[in-house]
Amino acid sequence: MSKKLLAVGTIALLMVTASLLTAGCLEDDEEWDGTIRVAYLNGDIHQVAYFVANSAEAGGGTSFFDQYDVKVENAKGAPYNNGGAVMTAFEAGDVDIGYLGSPPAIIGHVNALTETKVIAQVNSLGSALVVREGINTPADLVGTTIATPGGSTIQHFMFLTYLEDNGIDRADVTITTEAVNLMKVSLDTGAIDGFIAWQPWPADAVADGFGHVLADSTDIWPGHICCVLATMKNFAKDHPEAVTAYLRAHIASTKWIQQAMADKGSDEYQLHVDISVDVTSRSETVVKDALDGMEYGYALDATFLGSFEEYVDELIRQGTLTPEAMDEAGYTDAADLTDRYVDDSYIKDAEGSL
Amino acid sequence: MAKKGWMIFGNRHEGWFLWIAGFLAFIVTWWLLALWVDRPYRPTPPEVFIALVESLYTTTPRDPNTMSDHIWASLYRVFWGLVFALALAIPLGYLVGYSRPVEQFVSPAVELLRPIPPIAWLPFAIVMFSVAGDFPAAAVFIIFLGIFFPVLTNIVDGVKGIDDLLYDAALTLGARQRDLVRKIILPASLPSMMTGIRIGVGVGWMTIVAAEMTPVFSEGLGWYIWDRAEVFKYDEMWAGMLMIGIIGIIMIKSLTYAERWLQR
Repeated sequence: MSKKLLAVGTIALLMVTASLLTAGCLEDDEEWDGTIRVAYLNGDIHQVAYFVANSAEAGGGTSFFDQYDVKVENAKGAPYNNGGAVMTAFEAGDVDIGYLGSPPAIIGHVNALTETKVIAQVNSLGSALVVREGINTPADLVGTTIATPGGSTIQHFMFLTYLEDNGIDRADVTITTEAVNLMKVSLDTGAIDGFIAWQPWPADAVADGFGHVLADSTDIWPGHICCVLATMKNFAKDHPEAVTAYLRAHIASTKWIQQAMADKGSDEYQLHVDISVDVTSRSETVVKDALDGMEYGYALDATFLGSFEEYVDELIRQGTLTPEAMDEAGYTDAADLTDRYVDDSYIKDAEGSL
Repeated sequence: MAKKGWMIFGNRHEGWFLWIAGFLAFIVTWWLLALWVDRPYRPTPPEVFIALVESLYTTTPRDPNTMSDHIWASLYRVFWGLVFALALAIPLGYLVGYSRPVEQFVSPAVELLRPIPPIAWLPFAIVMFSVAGDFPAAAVFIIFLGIFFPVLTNIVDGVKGIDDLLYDAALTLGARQRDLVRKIILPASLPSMMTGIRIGVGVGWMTIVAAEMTPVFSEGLGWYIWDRAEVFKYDEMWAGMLMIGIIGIIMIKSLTYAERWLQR
């Protein structure tokens, strides 16, 4: 009997040991080579500032990244399907700086305790709700199936807000998740009755005759902020110069885009469209339509912070964030989170040194 | 008295003791791992248990369904998949097992389709049946495939495995065809059929959970798990996973008891 007990005990010990050894899994402790791993979303015209910063033509012969001595590479899983995936990649240690929506940046930080911080704005507005023919008012959404890019995305969050603002019970609409590049096909086959996504996917579906826009960002939440730049706290602490340099390039590319958008007859605007066509693999017509109503920015100003705090409040009200989760993350309320999670020190340094 | 198998303590309570010990070892290992990793994506057993209990009756503006609602959605799909699978697999299985010409006619299609995982049929099912209607036809079709083949093949094997001597003896005693079916084929193949149903239900249950994670469903346990992962509510995600396991155990044990009762 004692030999048998010894055998059973040994096997159990081996199993526990093997589990523990594989559990923490293995941090990569290699020395940093100076290359920033950047995450961005699939075909997202909001985040074209990254590609403009990488364009020698937009930079007048040398890209903005080169001008400010920034080495970048696409993160391992890029492009990602949604902001939640970017936050998961942050958690996994695969990303240094990421472009993603404000809500997933907030939700991942609070619920998953991912140690990120928001360091710059990227854009505001730029989403739309596309529906099939026959749906012409919010009330027509009752009994329909609408796709969003994911439960933590700004589009999902905006759609819930839209339903509530129009007096529609959430339980009366079926909401499903789908990758943005499949939404048009699903709408065409009737698998869904509509979708809400970032541009240019709504413009693309409308251009192909698969539906019409029921509401866009301005209708749902005028002036809402959208994408932000986030980084891991430890990365920013260990490499502040690299983060500041990255933001210099981000500011330069954003200003370039703003100037291009201000004059639609300019060569810069056409280059902006060309870059956006490359990023999104959509036609020029679709891209131009998608750019209408889009606003690009970088500042973490009072308008941004006010909108950010509104998001946090709304996420708490919708039940995506709970007071317990906020407490565990170390925040007392939305104002506290906004104040401490958004770090404007790097963007101010970058702007001051330009 | 000689004892069968390898026993540690050599008494009739050994099985229960080892089951409890194994369960506790599992919980302790999980707890240790969670404490070691100390990240929200690996919650401790109490955190998962609390999330599981609360989710059974809690809704939010984000998700108006409780976990109970999601469980019923999944079980409803499994139930109808099982009904349709048994309705076709049982008669076809007996026919194929008993008749060589039928077996030869049906086997090319069966052998070709059987290895295809049910989840691989999902794109076809979505287009063929749509997911927007009240009856979850696409989901039921996937589950049907998961259950149909194990039941069919086990019935065929059960019928073909009946000793020819039993047929000879029955015929010698004047049995007619329907007597052969009622008194030999059905009882002798029942264990195989029940084994097939047990395997099929297990496959069907795993299949529907995986299917519900794809972006066409908006309720069900699989959807619940994926949705909670998307908003990083890992304790609720793990609660959903645990519930899948609990329901799976209940299903299989129920079928085992049903088999024993039928064989009495």
